[in-house]
Amino acid sequence: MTTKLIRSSKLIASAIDDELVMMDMDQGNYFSLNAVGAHIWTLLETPHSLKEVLSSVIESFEAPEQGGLEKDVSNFLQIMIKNELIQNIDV
Amino acid sequence: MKYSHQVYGLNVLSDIDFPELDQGSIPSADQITISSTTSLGDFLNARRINPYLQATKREIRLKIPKAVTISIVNGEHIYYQPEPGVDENTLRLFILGSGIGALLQQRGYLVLHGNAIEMDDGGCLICVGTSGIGKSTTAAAMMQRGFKITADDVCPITSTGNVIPGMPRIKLWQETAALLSVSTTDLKQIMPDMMKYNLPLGDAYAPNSLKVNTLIELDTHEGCDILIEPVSGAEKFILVKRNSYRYEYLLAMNNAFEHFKKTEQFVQGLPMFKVKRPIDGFAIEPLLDTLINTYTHTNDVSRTAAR
Repeated sequence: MTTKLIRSSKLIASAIDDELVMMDMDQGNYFSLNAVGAHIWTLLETPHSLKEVLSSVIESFEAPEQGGLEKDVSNFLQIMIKNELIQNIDV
Repeated sequence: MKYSHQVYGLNVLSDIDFPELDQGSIPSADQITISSTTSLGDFLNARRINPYLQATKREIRLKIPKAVTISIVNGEHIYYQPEPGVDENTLRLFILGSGIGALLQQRGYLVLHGNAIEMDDGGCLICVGTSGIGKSTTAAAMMQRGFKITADDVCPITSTGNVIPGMPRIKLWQETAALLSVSTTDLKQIMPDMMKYNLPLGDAYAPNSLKVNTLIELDTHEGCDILIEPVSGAEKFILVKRNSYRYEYLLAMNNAFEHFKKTEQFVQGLPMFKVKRPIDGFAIEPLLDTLINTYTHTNDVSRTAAR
């Protein structure tokens, strides 16, 4: 059994001008994501592990593996979890 | 029901007179009722947001202390329960303001807090912004330049991006009226002890549904010039939310999802700007020039000589 990440179901999202805007339907709070954030969000429609998210970002944005990318992505995912935009599931 | 009026494209049957509204009825328009009650009864299964706001999907209740409690039901009925001794102008103010605003939300419109102005190309400019920023002042000054006003304060937007005309008056603070050299001597105060007046629009009322071509949020800044900032991306959604009429009513009625979908439909392709005037000194004429130029450039219309 491994822990993966998936989108929260209480969110609704809309793409506009290369950004993604999301709303938490309980509270009516809005969040916005840039292109990389939007890519990760799109990915997490289905469960993915941190490692899978990371390699997808590297591939799609031709980002260098060095230079703290893993830390950035990991921090971003933590913020997403904290705001209940995504959640951990065991698969 | 003694009185027959019209407001926001609806026929109103009411037991209280609204001198600020047009009389008579619109053929084949929907009808709403406004009536007093001595008791609103229990409100079961309501979401209680605070002591003054409770709602279900179908009904919202607003308590205005020392004045009135208003129940708005299904986009069709407004029931009001006045407190003893409350004056009729105060009742009218809250019924036509919060009451009609909530009713329009229930009827499925995206309701913005702002003013809608008819422009030369027959489209419409909506100016939004926080209270006191100068929305009504702007509308009144545009009216003095010969433009017509479609809606003051409450602007309901249809799914096709049109604004529904409201009522033939704007509410002006006394200082605003003075700034624009409008005499308040013959105007009616909107409620006792409040130096805000109903200015009848007369011929300056544009009673047709108009396409919203540009949305501008008015703001201030520390500098001494007028800034124009285009708004794009997620900021468009956030601007619409910030300037939505009483967003807390929507949350109470559990309508945040519908509001988001309406916003999405409305803002896609809609030119939106922030226009910031100097915080010190409100020079109205340069602001109007900026608003008109922004609209005109965006919508590619040529404005001929001044009217």
